[in-house]
Amino acid sequence: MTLPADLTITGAAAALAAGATTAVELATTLLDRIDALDDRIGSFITVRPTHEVLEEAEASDERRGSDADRGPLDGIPIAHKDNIATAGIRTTAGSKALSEWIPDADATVVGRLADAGTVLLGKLKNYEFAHSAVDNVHFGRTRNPLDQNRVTGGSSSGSAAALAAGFCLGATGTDTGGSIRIPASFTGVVGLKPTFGLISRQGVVTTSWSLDTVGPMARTAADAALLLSAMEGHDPLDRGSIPGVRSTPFLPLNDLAGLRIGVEHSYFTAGLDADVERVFTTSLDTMTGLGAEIVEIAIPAAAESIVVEKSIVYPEAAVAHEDRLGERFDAYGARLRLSLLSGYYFRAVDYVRAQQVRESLLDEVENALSQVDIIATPTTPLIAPRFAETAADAAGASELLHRYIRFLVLANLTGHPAVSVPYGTGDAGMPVGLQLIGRPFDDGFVLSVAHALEKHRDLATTPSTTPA
Amino acid sequence: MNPDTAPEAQTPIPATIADQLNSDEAKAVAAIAKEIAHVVKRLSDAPGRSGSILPAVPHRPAAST
Repeated sequence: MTLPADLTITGAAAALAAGATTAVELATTLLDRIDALDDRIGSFITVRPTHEVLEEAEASDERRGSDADRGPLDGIPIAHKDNIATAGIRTTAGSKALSEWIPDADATVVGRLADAGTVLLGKLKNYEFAHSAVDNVHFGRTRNPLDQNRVTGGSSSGSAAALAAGFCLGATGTDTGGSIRIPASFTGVVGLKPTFGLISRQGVVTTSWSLDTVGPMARTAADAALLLSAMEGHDPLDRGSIPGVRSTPFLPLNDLAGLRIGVEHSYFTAGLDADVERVFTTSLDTMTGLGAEIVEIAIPAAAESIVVEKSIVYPEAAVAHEDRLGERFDAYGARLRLSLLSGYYFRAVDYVRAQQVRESLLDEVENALSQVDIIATPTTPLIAPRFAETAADAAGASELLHRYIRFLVLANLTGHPAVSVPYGTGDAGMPVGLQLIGRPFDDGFVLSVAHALEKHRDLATTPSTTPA
Repeated sequence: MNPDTAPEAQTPIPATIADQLNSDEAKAVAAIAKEIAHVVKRLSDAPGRSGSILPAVPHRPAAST
């Protein structure tokens, strides 16, 4: 069987069930593809030894059709972001400071996806310690598979790039201020920042205790829902994990009849590049055509969301890194070092004020979601920029990074689930993402709406998933 | 860190870190401190600061009921 580069988890699961392929064939094909092409993309930090991968794939093939079969993810090749601990496999968090760390135990999400039968191909590059950046200063650049002169965005850069390049069928990412949704949007894949507390962060290198989330990334919303179903659930080892709840189920919706979609026109449609504005407007027309009602909503404090996020992330990250930064000062990139040191310049009262405004944001989003079923925004106001556009001075780069996260940090601050789904095509055929924000634990519902839109998306051309 | 060029942090930077900063980094830290002063000013002027800061996990009470 010839395996297309845009094969989905759902498609692979059907092929496995029908006997049209095997887990060994899937894994072998993808390992060959990574070996042939990833030196151009730079999505993996560590590719597992072939014999270890094939051992897992063979075990999956032996289970297939028996009582031991573990379901639709059994035999599916995936990869993990490298700030998520994997037992016996180097876990760097994209930093030289952890370049030799080999964890003794898997993170909870790694164990859960392994229990579901997935086959682990390796570890995916992320920006240093999952902080915002345009490159990884220690492990090299990750190029956008759709145009290698453009960034992938991050910090889950390798996860998005590997999916877009056809190197794996599913991936994990982490999202503290857009780190799943930015690269998903820039590379044309689906990324879910889940409801805070739905997926365990145990075993994940901390950026910010009150904002960090772990989520699924995939080529389709249905695939992300399959990964989510394996990843979610209470974990007593994560103090942020919430007991007794599961996500709403994923439904393969064909239309949006009766749904109320909230749109905020003051903050979330300001400063859009022309092609992003065009695609977003088209997406609203499509939603209306599918039976949804577009409702104007207000989130007045949204304009403060970046300020609030900075005032929380930097002090929390400064504390999270304090011991390691003292011990391994030279192993940190200069830019990240300064970001972490900035945490010491916030006063305790500033942190408290930020938490107060965060509460206001929560009230406003909850009020909006009492009027509508879901909130729609562009994921980012721009498509993936070229590397040359990111080479500006430090202030320019900071301004660019602020544009990346402009619409995204709100859902981190309030804890609501938010997905980025590719919806249209912008300049030079690059994808434009649509962000959908739902009520707490409506993660499956959010992915269901994304699924309905995927079938009607305005992609002028389907982005090539083969590196040029 | 050179105390003549570096501003004072609100929380003292641990000596294990501060002692390793060179003068260029101290200047960069000063620039960041200036940016943060802007952030903090905007924060102090932001609407909606009358509420409690609980719960730490934003939606836990709603999810638990």
